[in-house]
Amino acid sequence: MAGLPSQLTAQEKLADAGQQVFASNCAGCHGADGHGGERAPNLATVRSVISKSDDDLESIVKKGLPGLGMPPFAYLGDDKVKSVVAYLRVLQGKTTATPVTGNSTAGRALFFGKAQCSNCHMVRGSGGFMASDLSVYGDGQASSAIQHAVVTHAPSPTSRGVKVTTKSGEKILGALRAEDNFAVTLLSPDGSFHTYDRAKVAAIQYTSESLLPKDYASRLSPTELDDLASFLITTAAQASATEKPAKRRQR
Amino acid sequence: MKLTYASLLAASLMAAACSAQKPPHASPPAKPTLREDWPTYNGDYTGRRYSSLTQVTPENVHALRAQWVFHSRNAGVLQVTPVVVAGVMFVTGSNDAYALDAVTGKTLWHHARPISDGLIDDASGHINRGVAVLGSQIYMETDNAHLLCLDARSGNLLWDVAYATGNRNYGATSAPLVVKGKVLVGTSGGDDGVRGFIAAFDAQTGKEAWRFWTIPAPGEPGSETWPKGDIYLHGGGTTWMPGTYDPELNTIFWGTGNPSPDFDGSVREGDNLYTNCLLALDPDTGKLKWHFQFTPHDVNDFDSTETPVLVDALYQGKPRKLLIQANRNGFIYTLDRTTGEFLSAKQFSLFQNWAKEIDAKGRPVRTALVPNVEGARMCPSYAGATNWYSPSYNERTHLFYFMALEDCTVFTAKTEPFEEGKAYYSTGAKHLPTEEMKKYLVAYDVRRNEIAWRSPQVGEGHSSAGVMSTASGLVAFGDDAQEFEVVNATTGAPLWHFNVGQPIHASPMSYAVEGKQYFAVAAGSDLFTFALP
Ligand code: HEC
Ligand code: HEC
Repeated sequence: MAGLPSQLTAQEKLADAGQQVFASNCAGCHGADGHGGERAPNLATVRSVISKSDDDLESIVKKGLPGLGMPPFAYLGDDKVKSVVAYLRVLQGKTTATPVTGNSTAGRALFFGKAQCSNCHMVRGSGGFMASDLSVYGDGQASSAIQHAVVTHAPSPTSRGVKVTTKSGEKILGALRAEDNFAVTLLSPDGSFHTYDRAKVAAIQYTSESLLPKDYASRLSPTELDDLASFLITTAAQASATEKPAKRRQR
Repeated sequence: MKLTYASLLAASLMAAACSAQKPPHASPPAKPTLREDWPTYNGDYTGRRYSSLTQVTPENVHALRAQWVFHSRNAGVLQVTPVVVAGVMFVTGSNDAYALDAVTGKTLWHHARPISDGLIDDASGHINRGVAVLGSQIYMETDNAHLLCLDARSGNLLWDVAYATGNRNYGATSAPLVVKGKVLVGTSGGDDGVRGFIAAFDAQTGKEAWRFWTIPAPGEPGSETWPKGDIYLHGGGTTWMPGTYDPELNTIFWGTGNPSPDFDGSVREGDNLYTNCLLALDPDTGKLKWHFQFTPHDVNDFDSTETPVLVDALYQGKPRKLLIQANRNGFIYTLDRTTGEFLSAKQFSLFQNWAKEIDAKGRPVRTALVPNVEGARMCPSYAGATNWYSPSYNERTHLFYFMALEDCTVFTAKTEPFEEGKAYYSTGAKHLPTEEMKKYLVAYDVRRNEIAWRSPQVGEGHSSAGVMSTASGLVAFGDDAQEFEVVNATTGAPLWHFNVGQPIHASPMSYAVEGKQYFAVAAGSDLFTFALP
C-alpha cells in the first residue's frame, strides 16, 4: 500500500485556515468543537446542517440569520467564509480530503477501458446500468477500502443476482430488482425488466456469479487498482454537496 | 412464464438508444392513437387524454377493482400523471423519480434527490407532475428548476442542467415535453415576479437549443404592451404545464400564466403580452408563429396554462385543425390552430362577472369590476373556473370533458414592491364565509358549440383532479369527494366509483400490459391502479 501523501490537498489547506477563523469568530457561540453552546446550536452532528450544501452554508455564514441571533460574517471576505465552511466539514467528519495516492487520469482510462468497470457502473453520466452509480462513492473513502471492494466484489443484500429457469428450460440471469412471495422481477443485461410468477417457473436461484466480477485481483496490478481508487476519490471530491444524496439507486 | 412486455421495453428502449444516427425517430407520442403505452404527461401530443383501449366498457366497468397501490414515502401530495412505456411505469413525487413494474406495482428503481431549501410559493410545495421519455432516457424537472436526464433502466443521473437562474423565485412543477429530439421545459413562479420562458434542450447532451421569453424585453415586439422600465423582468407569464404538438404543422402550442403582480394592474398598464396567451412556436427554433391572448391585462390570476387540446373535427361543416381550451376565465375557446384565428368562445361558468362578452375577435369586453383596496367580489375566483387538471376530448362522442369550479372571491389590490424570496400577488384574495364552492363535470359539444351536460359534484371544491376518456365510451375522473369515478361518456351517468381515502389532485390515465387494461390515478401520496379481474 502506498505511503502517506507528503502534500496537503487544497481542501485540507482550506480547512486548516478555517480552524483559525472558527476559533476566533464562531467558537464563542457554537462551542470549540462546534457541538453547540449556550448561545448557539450544534453544527457538527445535526443532520439538517450536515446535509446543507457548501453554498447554502456559505450563504448563512455571510448573511447571518437576522432576528435569530446568528450574526452576518460577510465582512470576513469570501476566502475566510469558504475556509470556515471547509473546517465545519472537518468537524462534521464529512471531509473530502481523502489522500489520493495514485494517478486518477490513468484510473479514469482504466475505468472506461481495459478494466471494463463502465460496462456495469456509471460515473458522471457515462457507463452502464446493471450496477450502482459510483460518481460519489469515493466520498470519504480510503483508497485501500475501495481497492478491497473492487477486488472482492462481495455479494451484499442490495446486490442480489437471480437466475430463473423457465419450464421450457430457458435460463435468464439478471439483477434482482423486486420480489415478493408471488413474483420476482429482474433486470437483464439487455436493459429489459422481466417479471416471473414464482408458481409458473421451474426454478429461481439467487446467485451473483454473473453479476459480480471476481477476477480483478489477477486482472489488475496494485498500481492500476490504486489508480482506479484515486479516480473514484477525485471524482467524488469534484461533485458538489448537492450531488451527494445518500444513494442514487435505492430499492 | 416470461411476460413479453419485458422484451417490448428492451425493444423500445434499445431502438431509441441506438438511434442517434437516424433522423428524429418516431418517438412514441407521435403515434396518432394511444394504446398500451401512455408515453407523455397527457398521453400523446394532442393533449386529448383519449385512450383507444376498449377492454373496459360501460357494460363491464362495474367489475373494475384495485390492483395495487404505490406509496411515495417522501412526497407530499402527488400531482403526477404516470407515464407507461412497455410495462414500466415512471412516477415522480417531489424531486424523486421511481420506475415501477406496471403489473405488480413494485419499485424497480428509485432516484432519490433531496428537496430544495429556500423555495417559495408553489415550488415550496415540491410538486412534480411527471416525466418525459425518449428511448432509454427519462427527463424530469426539479422543484428548483433543474432539468434531469436519467437512465430509464437504472435511474442513474446522466445530466443535470439548472435552467432558470437570476431570480430565486423560479421553481418548476411540470412534466417536460420531448419534441424532435429536444426536451421542452417551463417554470413556475408566475405569482412571484419571475420572467416566464419556454426552453428547449438537446435530449442527448442537455445543451440549450433555444429559449422563448414570454415577456418581451424593451424594444422587442410586444414590449409596447408593458410600461417602460424593468417590470418585464418580473412580468410573470410562466409556462407551468406541458404544451401540445402538431407534427404536420411543425408547431408546438403552449399556454402561459398570469402577469405579475397578480391583482395590481396599475403598475403594468397595457395588455401585458405574452401573459395569458396561447403561443404557437416552431419547435426547431423557438420562433413565435402566432399568439392568441385570452385575458389581456389580467388582474384575477387567470393563467391560460390549461391543456391546449388539438382536435381535428368538422367545424361548421368543414374539416378543420382546431385547438380547444377551457380557460380559467370561465370561457371555452376554439381557435384555428394553423392560423391562430379566433373561432368561438362559449361561457361555461354558470356565473361570472368580469366580462360582458367576448367580442368577434376573441377579446373580452370587461365589466367595471377590478380588484381594489377595499376588495371586489369577482367570479370566477382566483382558483379559476377550471385549472391545470386535465380535460379530455373524445373523438367518438365529439364531447370535450373537463372539471369546472363555480366560485367567487374578494380580490384586493395594493401596490407593493417586488422582492426576491416573496410572493408577488399585490395583495390578496379572500373567500366569503357565506359562499360555497362547487365542482361540475362538464361536457362541451364541439360541433354544436354548446354545453351538452353538466354534472354537479358533491364536495367542498378543493380537489384538483382531471379527466380522461376512452374509445369504449367511458370518462374517468377524480371527483370532489375522494372517489375515483367512471361515468358514461355520452350521458354522464355514473357507472363505478372507488374511495381512495384522500383528496385527488392529479389526472388519471390508462394503459395496458399483456392485453390487460389498467386505469391509474394518484391521490394524496399514493398511486392507485384498477383493472378487470
Ligand atoms: C453571537 C453568537 C453566534 C456567533 C458568533 C456565530 N453564530 Fe452561528 N448561529 C447562532 C445562532 C443563535 C444560530 C441559530 C439560529 C436559529 O435559531 O436558527 C446560528 C446558526 C448557525 C448556522 C445554521 C445552523 C442551522 O441549523 O441551519 C450556521 C451554519 C452557523 N450558525 C455558522 C456559524 C459560523 C460559521 C460562525 C462563525 C463564522 C458562527 N455561526 C458564529 C449564533 C452565532
Ligand atoms: C459485471 C458487472 C461489474 C463490473 C464489470 C464491475 N462491477 Fe463493481 N459492482 C458490480 C455489482 C453488481 C456491485 C454490487 C451492487 C452495486 O453496487 O450495484 C458492484 C459493486 C462495486 C463497488 C461497491 C459499491 C458499493 O456501493 O458498495 C465498487 C466500489 C465497485 N463495484 C467498483 C468497480 C470497479 C472499480 C470496477 C472496474 C474495475 C467494477 N466495479 C467492475 C458489478 C460490476
